[in-house]
Amino acid sequence: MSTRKKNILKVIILGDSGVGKTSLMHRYVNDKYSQQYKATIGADFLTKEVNIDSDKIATMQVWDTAGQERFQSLGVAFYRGADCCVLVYDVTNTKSFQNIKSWRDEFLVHANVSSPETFPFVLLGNKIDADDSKKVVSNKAAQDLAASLGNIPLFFTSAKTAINVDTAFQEIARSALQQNQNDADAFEDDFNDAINIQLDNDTNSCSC
Amino acid sequence: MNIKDQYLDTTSISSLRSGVRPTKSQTSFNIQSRAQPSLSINLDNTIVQTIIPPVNNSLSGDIEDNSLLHSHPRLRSMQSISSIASRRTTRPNTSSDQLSVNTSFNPIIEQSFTYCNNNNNNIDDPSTIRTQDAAFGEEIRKDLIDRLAQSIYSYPTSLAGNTNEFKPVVSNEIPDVFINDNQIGSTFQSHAKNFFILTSAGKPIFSMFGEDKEIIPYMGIINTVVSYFQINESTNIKTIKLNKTKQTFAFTSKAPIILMAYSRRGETTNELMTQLDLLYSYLISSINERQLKRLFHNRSNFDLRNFLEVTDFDNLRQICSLLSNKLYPDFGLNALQCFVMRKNERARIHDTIHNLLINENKNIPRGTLLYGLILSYKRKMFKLCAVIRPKGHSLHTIDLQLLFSLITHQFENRDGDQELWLPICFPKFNSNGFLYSYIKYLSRSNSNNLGSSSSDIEDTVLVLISAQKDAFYKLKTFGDKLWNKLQSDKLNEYFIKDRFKFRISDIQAPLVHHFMYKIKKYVQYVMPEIEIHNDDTNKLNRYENKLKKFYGHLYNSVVDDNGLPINKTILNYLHWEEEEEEEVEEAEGNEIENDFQREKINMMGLIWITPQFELYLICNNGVNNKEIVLRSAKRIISWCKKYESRLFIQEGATF
Repeated sequence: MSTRKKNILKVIILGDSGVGKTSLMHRYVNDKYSQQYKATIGADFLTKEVNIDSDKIATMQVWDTAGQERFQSLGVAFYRGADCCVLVYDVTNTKSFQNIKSWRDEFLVHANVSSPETFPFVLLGNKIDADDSKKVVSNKAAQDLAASLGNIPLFFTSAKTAINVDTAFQEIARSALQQNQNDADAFEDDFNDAINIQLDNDTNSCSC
Repeated sequence: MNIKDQYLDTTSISSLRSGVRPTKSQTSFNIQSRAQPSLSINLDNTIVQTIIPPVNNSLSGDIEDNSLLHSHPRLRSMQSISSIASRRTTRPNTSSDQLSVNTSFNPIIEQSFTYCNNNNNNIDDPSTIRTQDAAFGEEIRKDLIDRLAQSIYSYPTSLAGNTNEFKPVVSNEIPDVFINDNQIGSTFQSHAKNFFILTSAGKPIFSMFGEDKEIIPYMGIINTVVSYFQINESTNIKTIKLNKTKQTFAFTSKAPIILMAYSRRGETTNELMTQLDLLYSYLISSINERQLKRLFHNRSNFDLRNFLEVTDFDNLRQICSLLSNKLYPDFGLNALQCFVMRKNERARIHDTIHNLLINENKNIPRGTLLYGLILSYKRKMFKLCAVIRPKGHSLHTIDLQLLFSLITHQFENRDGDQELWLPICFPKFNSNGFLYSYIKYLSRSNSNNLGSSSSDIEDTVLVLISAQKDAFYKLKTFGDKLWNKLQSDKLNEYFIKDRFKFRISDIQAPLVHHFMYKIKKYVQYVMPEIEIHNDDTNKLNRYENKLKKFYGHLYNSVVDDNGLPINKTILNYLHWEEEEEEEVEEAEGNEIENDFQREKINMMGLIWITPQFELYLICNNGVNNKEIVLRSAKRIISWCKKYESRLFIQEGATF
């Protein structure tokens, strides 16, 4: 149907503070990068039209959340109704990698998704432009983690030099659309909500 | 003296061209006993204007048409004012006795009848007039005539006898006090008003303005704001107000739906929230609450936009536009308008329906038909012609408004004479299920034979509502029989043409520009036909918006924070005027206006709420005499009372 609106895909980006979530998003949406670090407060919202597999168009609504602990109380609100969850760690920061699992669990606890086993996650190891000497998370460790989380897609990215960002978000969009349609298909129309009314019974009357 | 009848004194809103200052309106509610009405009139416009008619009369030799006074009811009724005025100027302290009789207000309408009669007696006494006349010199008189010409905009004919050289251009418009709220630019942010509907996941469903790309981030923010209060404060945020920029945001959260209204028009939170309720009700009328919950159950990422039909978005836009750009009292007053016809005419129609329902008992068993309506549709407004309903049952006005919006859409897209069978949920009746509406177009007439202007087209439509989804043929058969019967008895002539539409000038209520009168027990209201700008949609919209804002101010002046009237019986005046310095600035800023002298804003309105009725009234520009306004208000009430059985459906065909 031509009048049909484009699907809205809600994508949420999670990860420790400073791993580059906002930078990734800006690189993807605006193709820009800023050296300056500014902590996200609460969440940022960006929108991008995506063309998936060259025939489906959707609107991606990216929720770039704050990594800092103090904003986590809003998690429920942010996670609710997401179509895909992007987990980001910093390849130069072991802690951020170790925390990926807890970010995922945190998401599943609050997001109230229909089937946690099949919900799409995408894992991103960011800042691969850094000197090899600074990299502390091995590719092998990352692949193992991706496998253990249910064979989720893994990308090594750099927001700064635009490595793999588009590819990663293509995959994110595809997973999100897939999830969105699975859920939509699970619904069966039912207009059988006729009201049973007895005219002689006054309980249904409206006093106006 | 009846001390317990009190009234609220004028609260004055001093407004600038750049914006109204509602803060001033809250300043003083002086409660006074009616025994001593305060006549705080300065010797300026009001008195000056009001003295004119007797002056004219006594100068009959100079005036070509000396029957003017008697042929023109409005001028005559203004005579009473002159007596007040002259008394005020000569013996201000002794006037209160007589005045107290005139101004005493009491819900019992009969009193105002007596009062009117007294007036007429006064008028016929020429000696009174002459004495008043003597108080004024010739020069003043000329000046007064000019001023009158400028102030009484609604009856240009009253100038017929004016032999002065100076004939000012008059308009029957009222000035705009609220310039601030017009759209500044064409961007999304510049809209003075917007509505947003989103899911609890922050996915957009609808917005009045804005492309997807623009609104989606806002949806996220709205969602976050609402969630913040739910999570951290365990409460629902109602409103955010920015006093400096006069912006108001109102929120409604009904999981899984969140709604937000934004307004720069000085609307209150309560107004916006009731508007949101209508939008939510519309959504429910299309999908019903049970289904909505089911859709989002375990699927909070559900994209409701693709579940709704194109029609739904059209209708939501239509409702938003009615709420924002039109004078749409059906919603504001929570009442419906009734198609005016004689009492016995309506009774015959109702009897016919009733008898047919009994005769057709076999074909349409009891319980099949729940509710029936014959509606007239003109200029996007519906009026009730006839109502068929079970005893003790009636539908909520919101539910009917939702039905109207559906029918409106069908009217605009209809192709010949159609019949429709629509499932519709009436949220105020039962938000979890559907009722089924059979809709049949009965007739179309064009009151203006010359032009094909759509504003003159009147459509009539029959609506039959059932709870049974297989009742289409039963209702269709009944509808056909009913229409045939109405035609064969020539009863259809009563409602295919509006024979009794009335204008404000049909009522002897001087200085009143427009009014709305609602009878609470019928949940119906009347207002005069809008007479200007009917050929220019933009101007008409601007004009209606103006009226709407004046009425909004009036209503807000007497309600508490919850939007409920502060008292069971309230009478309040509001006064809008502009400050001099601002006027100068404005004139300089606008080159076109430099050529013309803009009319000075000096508007007055009255709101009168009692357990029986509500009256909202706006005066012509330049009027600031409360006594006259109150008298006019009483005349409107008596007029409505007199024609109550024509103006309102009192019973309907009940079964």
